[in-house]
Amino acid sequence: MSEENGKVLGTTTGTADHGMPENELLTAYLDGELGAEARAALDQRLATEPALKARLDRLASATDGLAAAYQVLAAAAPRERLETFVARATFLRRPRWLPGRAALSMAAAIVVFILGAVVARLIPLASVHDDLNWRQAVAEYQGFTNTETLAAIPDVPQVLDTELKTISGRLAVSLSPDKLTLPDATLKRADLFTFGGRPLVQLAYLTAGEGPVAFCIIPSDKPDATAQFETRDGFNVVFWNDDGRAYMLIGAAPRATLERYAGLLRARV
Amino acid sequence: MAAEDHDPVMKGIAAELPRLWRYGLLLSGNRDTAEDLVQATCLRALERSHQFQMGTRLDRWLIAILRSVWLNQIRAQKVRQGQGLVDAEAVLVFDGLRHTETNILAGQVLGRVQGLPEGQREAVYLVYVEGLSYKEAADMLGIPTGTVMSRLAAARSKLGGLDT
Repeated sequence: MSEENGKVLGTTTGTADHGMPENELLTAYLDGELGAEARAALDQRLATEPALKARLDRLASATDGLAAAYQVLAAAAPRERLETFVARATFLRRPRWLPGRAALSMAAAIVVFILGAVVARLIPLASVHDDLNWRQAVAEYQGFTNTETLAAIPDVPQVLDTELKTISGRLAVSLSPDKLTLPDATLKRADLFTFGGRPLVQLAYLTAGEGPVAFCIIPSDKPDATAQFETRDGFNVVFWNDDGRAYMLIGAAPRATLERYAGLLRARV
Repeated sequence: MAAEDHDPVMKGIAAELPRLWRYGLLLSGNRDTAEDLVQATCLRALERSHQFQMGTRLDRWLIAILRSVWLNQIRAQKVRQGQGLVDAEAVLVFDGLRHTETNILAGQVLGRVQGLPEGQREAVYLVYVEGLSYKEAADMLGIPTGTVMSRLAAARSKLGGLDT
């Protein structure tokens, strides 16, 4: 490997006069991209040809201030907004059921134990494919979500839009932020899970004062059914069926809140 | 167990955001589009963080992703919508940065680069601002090394007032 490798004009490719346009030759010279022999030949010419030297100086000055200008431009970037976006996107890629960054090694062992128990319950449930069991699985997952879990997620509409578009495609249902707006609640994230081989959508809201509420959808072969109420694993649940999909709202929020939300969502989605 | 603690992409991406944004601005000439580009780039990079090779440069990897997002998604969309390009110099005006001599000069330089044809503009940015070699720039742009050189020569000629 000689040091000429990768150079535009190496020792074997010729001299300064091998036919390369002069501005290109001078540019390669300025950029350190000429091989040693071509460079030496050009140095000789520059020493004896003032016009060539003047041209070189002109081409050299063309990049003056370039790096500094782009530093100024980088400083004008909407850094805070972009960092918030990345923080949220990064957060969303973390395993969901883990707690925050603190005390993670201790917590990890406990979580693995709990997860083992949950998975053991989900697997037989999932294989049955019935609408009751999907509500049970959601209820168990809801137990891992608290106000802090959702409050830690920055609100970045673009991320949510992307998530909703992906999910809408998978479930063949149109979910847009305007359809999903609920009073006194902020939509924090949209997730797509698989349950019993079917896509399961979970939209997580944080209410003002009544904790997290999840709105979940899964394809179902049950006939349409009006909204019903139940309690499951200590949560209030309102559920119904429409057009080949089962829906549920779950949370610690009062029954009246969930039924009001159900009415709004049922009319729009 | 937080993934970002040992994922070099999650760990390093925040520091690259201003540089990605200015590259997005160079390509699109529009600050909103530049922001869209950076966001799409970050999502894709996070999705594919397992493809990033340890020991290689994260900044170059991200630049390549941004360029691919631009060419494959956003540029085509903008062309369809018939949106024109905005001078990069305008960004400095909008941000009220024109108070210092440094920023006025920067604005002039950026305006001149933005006035170059797209291929020359990008070669100038990658080689003279990001510090890529001709070979690295050629690989990034998918063109021969000689083409990088001729684009740079043409750009230097124009910027240096030698264009005939």
